[in-house]
Amino acid sequence: MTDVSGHPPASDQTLVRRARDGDMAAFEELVMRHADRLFASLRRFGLDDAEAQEVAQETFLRAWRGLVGFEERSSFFTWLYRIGFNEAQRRLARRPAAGGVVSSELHPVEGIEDSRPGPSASAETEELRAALAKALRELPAELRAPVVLRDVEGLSTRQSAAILELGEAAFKSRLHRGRMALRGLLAPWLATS
Amino acid sequence: MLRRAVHRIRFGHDHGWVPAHASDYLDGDLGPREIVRVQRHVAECAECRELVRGLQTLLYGLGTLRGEPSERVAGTVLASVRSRLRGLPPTER
Repeated sequence: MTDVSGHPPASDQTLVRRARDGDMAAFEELVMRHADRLFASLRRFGLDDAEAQEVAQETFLRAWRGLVGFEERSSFFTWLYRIGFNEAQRRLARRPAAGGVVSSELHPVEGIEDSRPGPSASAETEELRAALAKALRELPAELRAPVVLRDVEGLSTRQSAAILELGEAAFKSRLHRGRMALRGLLAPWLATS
Repeated sequence: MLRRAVHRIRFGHDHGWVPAHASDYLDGDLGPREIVRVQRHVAECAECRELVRGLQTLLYGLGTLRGEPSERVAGTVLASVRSRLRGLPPTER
C-alpha cells in the first residue's frame, strides 16, 4: 500500500516520533488512522454516539499532551486505547446504576425466545447481533471491557491486558468470567441440544 | 471395580477443572496434556460439552460484531482536536 505520493505509508512509530517533535500533520495522520476504530470500540464498550465521540476527542488531546512522556514500551495503538478505555470507564462509572461495579444480578436478555433457531444456524443474523450487543451492555464494565477488547475487537490477550493495565492472568480470569456471564444471558441462543 | 472408582474420581476432578479452563482451551492457551484432559472429559460429560460448545458459539457471535459498520467520525474528531489545540498556549500545543 502506498500514500498519494506513491510512498508506503509511514508507520505509527514514525508518525509518533515526528509528532513528538511538534509535527502536527503527523499527529493528524494518527488521528485519521485510529479515530474510527477507537470510536467503534467505545460504542461497543457501552458509550452512546455522542459520548464515544467526546471520549475519542479527549483521548487524542490527552495523547497529544502525553506524547513527550510516551516511552514506546507499548504500541501507540495500545497506549491510545488505554487512555480511551480509562476515560470511558470513568464516564460509565458516573452514570446512575452504571457498570464498573460487579453486579451479582444479571438478567437474561429480554425478547429472546427458546423457539428461535440456534446460533449455529443464524449467528450472522441481525437478531443475534442485537442480542449479543444487548447482553454485552448488561455486563458490568469490568467484565465487559475484556470481552470487547479480546473477543469483539480481536486483540491479543497481551494487548488487551496492557490496555486495561492488568496482568495476563488477571485479565484472563476476568475474560472468562465475562464470557460465562454472557453465556448465562444468552442461554437460549447458545443451547445446542 | 478399582478402575471404576478411579474413573469416578477423575471424572469429578475434571468436571470441576474443565469449566474453569474452557476459555483457555478455546483460546489455545492449554498445553497438550491439558487439551487431552478437556477433550476426554467433554466426550463423556454432556454438561461440560454444552458449556464448551456454547462458549465456542458465543465467541463466533462476538467476532461477527467486529464487522458491523460503524459511523465514520475521524474527520469530525480531527476537526475538534485541531480547534481545541489551537486554543492552547504554544507550549502545550
